[in-house]
Amino acid sequence: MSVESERARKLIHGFWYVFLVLVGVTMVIPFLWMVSASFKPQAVMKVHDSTYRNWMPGEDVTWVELDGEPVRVKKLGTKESRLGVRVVQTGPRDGMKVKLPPGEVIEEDVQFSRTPAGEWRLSEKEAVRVRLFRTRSAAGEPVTLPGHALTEESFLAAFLEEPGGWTRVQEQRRDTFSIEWRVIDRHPRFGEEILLPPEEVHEEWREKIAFSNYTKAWNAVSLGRGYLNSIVIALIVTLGQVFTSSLAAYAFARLNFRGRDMLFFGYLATMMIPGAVTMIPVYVLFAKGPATLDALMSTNVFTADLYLFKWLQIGKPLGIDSYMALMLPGLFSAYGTFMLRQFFMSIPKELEDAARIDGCSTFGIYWNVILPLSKPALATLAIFTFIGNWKSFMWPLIVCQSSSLRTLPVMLSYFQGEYNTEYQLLMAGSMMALLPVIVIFILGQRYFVSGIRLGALKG
Amino acid sequence: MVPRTKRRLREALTAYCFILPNFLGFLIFTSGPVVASLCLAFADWDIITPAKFAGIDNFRKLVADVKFWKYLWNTAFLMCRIPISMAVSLGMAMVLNQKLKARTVFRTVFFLPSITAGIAVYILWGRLFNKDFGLLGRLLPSFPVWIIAALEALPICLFLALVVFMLSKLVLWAARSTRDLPLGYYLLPALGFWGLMVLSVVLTRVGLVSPFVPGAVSIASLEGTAGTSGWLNDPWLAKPSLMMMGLWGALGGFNMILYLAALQNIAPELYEAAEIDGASRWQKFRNITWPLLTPTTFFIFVTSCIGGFQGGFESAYIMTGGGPPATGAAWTPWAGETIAETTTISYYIFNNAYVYLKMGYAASMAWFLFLLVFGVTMVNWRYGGKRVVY
Repeated sequence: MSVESERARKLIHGFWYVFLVLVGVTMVIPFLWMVSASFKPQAVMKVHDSTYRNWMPGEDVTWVELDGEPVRVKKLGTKESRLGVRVVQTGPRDGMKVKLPPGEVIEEDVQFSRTPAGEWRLSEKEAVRVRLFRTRSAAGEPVTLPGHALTEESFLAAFLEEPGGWTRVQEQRRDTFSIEWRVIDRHPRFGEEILLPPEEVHEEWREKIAFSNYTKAWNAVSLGRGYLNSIVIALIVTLGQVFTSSLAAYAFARLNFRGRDMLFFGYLATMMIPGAVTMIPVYVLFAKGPATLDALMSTNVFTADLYLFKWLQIGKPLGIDSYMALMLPGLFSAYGTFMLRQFFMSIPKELEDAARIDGCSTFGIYWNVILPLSKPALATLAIFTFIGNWKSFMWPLIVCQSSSLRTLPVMLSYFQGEYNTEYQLLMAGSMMALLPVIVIFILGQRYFVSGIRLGALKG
Repeated sequence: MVPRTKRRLREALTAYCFILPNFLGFLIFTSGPVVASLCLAFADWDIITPAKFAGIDNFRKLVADVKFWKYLWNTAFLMCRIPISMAVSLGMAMVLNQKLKARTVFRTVFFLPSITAGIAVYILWGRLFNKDFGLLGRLLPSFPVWIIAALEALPICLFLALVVFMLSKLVLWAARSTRDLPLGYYLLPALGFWGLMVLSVVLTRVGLVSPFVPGAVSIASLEGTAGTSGWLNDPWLAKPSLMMMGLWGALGGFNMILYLAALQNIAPELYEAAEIDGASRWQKFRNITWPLLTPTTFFIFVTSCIGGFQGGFESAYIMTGGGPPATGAAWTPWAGETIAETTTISYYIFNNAYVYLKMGYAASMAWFLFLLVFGVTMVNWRYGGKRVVY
């Protein structure tokens, strides 16, 4: 090949690489957006001018300096050329309980009295030390205090210093190592509104990865139960379907019996029937079945709730809201039978004959010869069934009315209904539902490709 | 030695035992329900009170139900992405079929959207389309009306082009022509398609109601407001948005893998021979690649159609809740009625069966759907499926 055509070839390949990378980026961008959104700390994702800020998890922070400490605030509006802000810093709030080692709380016997000028003045008592606004005020020294903070009576006050102010606490319980305090007053108070000159209100962007979204989403609608349900159902259905399909596929592929081809054609024909056609009668079967069985046998076994270890609700034995309704229809599949039959047909018959001469039974041949030889096909069917089941939505939605039986997709759809505006939680929940699929896909990648070819083209 | 007949009987018995577990499921969950739903289709039943025989009332009601026809139209509209996604998949497969390094990596990445498609991904796309902060909704908050005119005219133009294509094929067949028309064969329908699209856009431009858009409002009146309520809340953009999401999922999905496999099965000697004869790229594609891909194309088309008729439930349930309503144009069966834009037949069946508890009506609709799927499959089979068994 000449040098020039070699160069042309490289150029063309380079072009296609660029093209493929661009397409690949398009495929991945929604997922990246999802990951980025799931780590954002704020419910309202503000739109920034900067792409970086739109994509990186972080939040806009407005803060003011109060007594030398930064305090988070929210802007309210301007009034007489001053900016109104509301204190939004979350810290100990009124009524909240905090546990601290004894040294961190300063207990003071404080007495205040009001001067004629309206100032608060500490009482003349000896040995009074007060820490207010991080300054040590000597007895008798006038201090300016917010009017709501204190009363004219003298009291035993306990203060807790913290950034941006102080908190008055009250003793609740005491043991050797710690005293439990109840927050009874806090300054600046959560929600308090202050007027400040605009230049004292600072705004900045802070990067922050909110891992807590994941735990919040997990706890919000018992996603854990959804996970458990999905895994149990998908595993059982996968094992069951691979077993029943391979048994039937072996019979269709290798054994001679009356009506074999007709039955196989029947299987093929049903693959074309829309799910909606069979779904309604199957639903009716599960909705009406248990009560009918109860009436026939005059018991109430079939409609009673079932519990595992007396506390884990596992639905009913049959019918709507039962694991049976979620699993049984999935245990049999015309598609799986068809796919495995195609594979079994391609296995050389001589292997079976040799086993038969050695005295192997039909089931023995199926179990010891056919199954080990068809591991790739079985793995393919298993992965497809598992993922299909993991994602299936309409049927679980129809048959799960009780919340304890919901599978992950159903759980997610309810989650979306309840947390419609908390996008970051929704994205975190969706991420958790997607991860198993992505992991299984990447691990079993080659089975997918072979499976798609097998199911479609060899006929 | 066991006598032959006895041995055969034994084999048959063993076979029945092998099939039994699967067959029981087949009986209870597939073939039984098919018969049962056929019976239900002729009954009136709300699950609680006893069923009443209704004769063909359900079907009569179905034909008169303007909502049903609108939802059928919605379904067909969403199915317009099938030819587009097939063409794109084939293109992607041909690009990947070159001797490129890291081919597996690309294939894996392209396949990711279709393997993850499910509730989680629908929730994700619902947010992407959000007008306040979604990646797409924010990027393009409002649309020029000509894009909307083109998008809305897509299905009817596509359908008319298909008719033109069939007619030209029929004429060729009638003339017993064995001459191959390399490019001209496709020129007429292609030109027709683009011509109609342009016509629709031009009509919109001059402020007329385009005859290819089944909406009562002139698209020109949307100037400046289209899409401002969010993609999925906009009656003109809801379906194109869902199609776009579908394209993203189908681009590198099952179809591309099937095409790739089929392309790799084509013997390279064929191309070498054609090159010696001086064939152009188009001639190689037209005379070698395309004919050898026919079984795959046929398979993909049939399965996509079957899937397409039944599709749209999850996106309607999760993303749009049935979709924004729009009023039909005078020439549509749903003229003057204001009906949801993204409700498909399967979502309508779901609502009728499990929300309104009209089991009989839902069953009759499901059977209508079945007949539709069956009909389309049979037509495809006769037309293009001679070489395929699937």
